[in-house]
Amino acid sequence: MAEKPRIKIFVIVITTLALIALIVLTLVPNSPLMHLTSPLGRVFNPIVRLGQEVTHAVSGWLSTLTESDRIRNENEALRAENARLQNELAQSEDAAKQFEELKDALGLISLFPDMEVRGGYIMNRAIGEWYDVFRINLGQKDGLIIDAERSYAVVDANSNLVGRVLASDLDSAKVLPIVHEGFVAGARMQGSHGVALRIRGDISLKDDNLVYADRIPLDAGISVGDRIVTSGAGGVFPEGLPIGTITEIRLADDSRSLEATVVPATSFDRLTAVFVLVGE
Amino acid sequence: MSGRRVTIVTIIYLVLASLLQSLLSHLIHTPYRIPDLLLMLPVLGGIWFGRHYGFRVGLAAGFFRDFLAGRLLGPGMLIGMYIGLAASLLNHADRRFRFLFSAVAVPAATVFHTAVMTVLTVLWPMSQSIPHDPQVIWSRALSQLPMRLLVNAAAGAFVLALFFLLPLKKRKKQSDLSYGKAGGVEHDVFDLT
Repeated sequence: MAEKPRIKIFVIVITTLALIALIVLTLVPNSPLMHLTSPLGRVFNPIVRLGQEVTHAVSGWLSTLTESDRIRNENEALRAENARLQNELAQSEDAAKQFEELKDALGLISLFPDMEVRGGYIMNRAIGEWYDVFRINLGQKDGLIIDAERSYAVVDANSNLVGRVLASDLDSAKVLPIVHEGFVAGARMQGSHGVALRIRGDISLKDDNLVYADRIPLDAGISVGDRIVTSGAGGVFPEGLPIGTITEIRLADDSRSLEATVVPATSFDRLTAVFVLVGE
Repeated sequence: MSGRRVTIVTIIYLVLASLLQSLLSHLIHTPYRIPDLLLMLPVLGGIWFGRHYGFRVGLAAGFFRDFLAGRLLGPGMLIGMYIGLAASLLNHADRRFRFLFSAVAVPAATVFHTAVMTVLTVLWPMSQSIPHDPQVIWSRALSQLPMRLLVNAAAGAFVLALFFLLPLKKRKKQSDLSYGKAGGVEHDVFDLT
């Protein structure tokens, strides 16, 4: 059997250097190198979407079967018809139409008259522990151009803050969720005398889908159950987006401020559709 | 052996692994509980098909990983490439050894990958303005390790099953096969060296 030549050390070294250069260059916001994934996205995104629809259809079909067993004793015809219609509805809804209807119904456009609201869905969530983020089906073709000073808020259908757009290629974008340890945003307590504070993800809280609030003045007068919204500082997030509710308050390590644990207003477990707020 | 078949089958491996991992991320919302098929592909590819395959599939699987969820392009490729190369050191002519080495390499690669990602997180946090206690990061990584080992064992079994169900090389007739102690690895559908 003929033995192929060994991979030369210099090939490994050159590849390593090229990859390190790639990492460094993709650190630059709006790096053209992020477009390297665009051709793959063109092919792979429809496959993922098809996979999601097949999964949805199978689970819908299974739930229809389960439903049928139970209702046979009650009102078989009526309930089976209902389950069938629900299943059909889930399978046949056109995504774009759904998003347009949702947008109108939920008044997102009227809430943010100076912004365009782009509806999309989550292609996949984080698949690894540390550096990974969400991927959505909106990209530069939808106007999501990221640079050093520009990013976009991502909200759910109830305009609760989900995260911000981190990077984009032509057809998809990466979203940093608020529970991620890299997320930081200016926030304030809801109400006319809103106290300013900082909200951020925390390693020890992210498994429980909780976020961390710090830099809260000692005399802020906050209590468990208070709601936190975005402050609008920094320009990425419009003011007033609901972030979450305080569940625990404690004294910070330096004893000069308070910190709190916050339950996000958005439900990450049920999140499938997201909306990106694109400023004028 | 047809190079075209190897390429097509490898693309199928990659797309299947990526698609499954992507779909699983919707069902399992804690990432460390998701079987890491894109990690197992270069590990087992290196062991079963040799260094060239380990090198290439490591790069490709890393590219898919970066495309799917990485905040940067490159780290997944870099780690995948080295894992594929390291795994190929265990490429042995005897299939029984490859099974044995696979059983060792899957947990070893899981531990290595966890350690590398943890070190990167400690040394290179995503946000410089946020303090992260290295002790918290390490204890979190360690506490997640048993579950990661478990799900990656399942991922390894899946990838191996894929290698058998959809081999890179066409299977030869039974009469042509001569696996085992007598050698004859030239006919092994898993041999790409």
